[in-house]
Amino acid sequence: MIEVYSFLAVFLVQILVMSVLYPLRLSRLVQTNLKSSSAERLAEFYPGVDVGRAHERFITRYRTANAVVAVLGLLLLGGFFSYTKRPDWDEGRLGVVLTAYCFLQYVPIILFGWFTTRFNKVHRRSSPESKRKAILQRRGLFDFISPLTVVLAILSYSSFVAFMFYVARHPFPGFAGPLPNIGILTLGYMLLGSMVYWQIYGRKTDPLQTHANRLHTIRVTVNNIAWMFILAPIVLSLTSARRLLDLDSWSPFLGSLVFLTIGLVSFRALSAPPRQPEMEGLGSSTVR
Amino acid sequence: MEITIDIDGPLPQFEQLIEQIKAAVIGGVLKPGDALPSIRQLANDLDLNSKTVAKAYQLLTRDSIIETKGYRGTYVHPKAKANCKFNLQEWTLRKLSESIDELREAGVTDSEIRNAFASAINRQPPGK
Repeated sequence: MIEVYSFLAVFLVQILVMSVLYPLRLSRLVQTNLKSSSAERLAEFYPGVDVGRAHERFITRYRTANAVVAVLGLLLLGGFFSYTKRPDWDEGRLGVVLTAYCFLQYVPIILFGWFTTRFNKVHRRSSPESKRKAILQRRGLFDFISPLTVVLAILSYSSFVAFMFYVARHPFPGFAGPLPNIGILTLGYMLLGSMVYWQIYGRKTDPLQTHANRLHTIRVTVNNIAWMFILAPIVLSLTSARRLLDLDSWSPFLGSLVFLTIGLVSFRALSAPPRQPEMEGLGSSTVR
Repeated sequence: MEITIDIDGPLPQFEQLIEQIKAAVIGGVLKPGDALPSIRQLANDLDLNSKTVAKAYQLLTRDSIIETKGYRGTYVHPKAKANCKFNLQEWTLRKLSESIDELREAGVTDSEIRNAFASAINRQPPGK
């Protein structure tokens, strides 16, 4: 029963983190960012629109959607509790409901992103400024993450490759072989790698973003992606190890733990950038 | 160091970039060996076409103000400050003026000089 109680505990934390703390922090960050942009600048970029009011409306809808998801999660928790008391409880069925709920937890943030993108597309002017600014400073990967993190990611990937070849010698039913597993992870790495490149060297999407704010965003995002590089092989290895050791009853716990970990890693992206004079309108204006 | 490009300004964008990098080198803001951003990064940051930044970098490299060290990137040339003071356009004009004066003294007409100049500039340089 320890696996059931572990799962219920992790699931409760997952509800709290993803549907209560995450929305609270995101709302606070949006409000902080809004306050750091002067009214004149906002009026320049959004002519004839009350951005503050529109944001408040978004936030209210976002919080409501999360409250609904959190209540649904608590109801599910009760349901899982009574279901796992039954002697014939099946981790496969529970896993399907759990996965569906985990994706549901991401729906409010997806809607929030969609509303923001649509709002910007309709109301924001591309760039009213004729003068474009940039800091003449080279950005590189190691300006944002430590070499140790890269070493850990390489170690994690290499260990996964070695583990897959080990599992191939003692395969379990449903094991697709080492190459498809390694291929999927490599594709994931390539996708994440292109995201890192785009973050560091790509165009700035928000013209209101200051230079300090942009560097902070790059640092946090690249670090999050680096953690994904490290964690993805571990999660995939644990999934295989669970099947290999016939510990299927632990799968709901592991599933919930994975989603919670992803949530906690992405939580870092919501930290506010350090206060800079330029962010308070004291220094230079928008820096590209 | 901050670079500002005025897209409505009278100077071409690549020239604005060249002038500001030269000014930074002369003013000591950029020192020999300092790393410069990649063409793509600077073009994206300034929301310019990467060909514009590439042209500026190409001309700065030609004048030995910056140097490209393969995959390691672009750096300020060790003799950048001295090379900034050298004006290639002025030097070309002076050299041409000297040659034209010499030809005029020898009795060559302006029309003949123009024709000869056109033929000479259209001639393939040796080794090409």
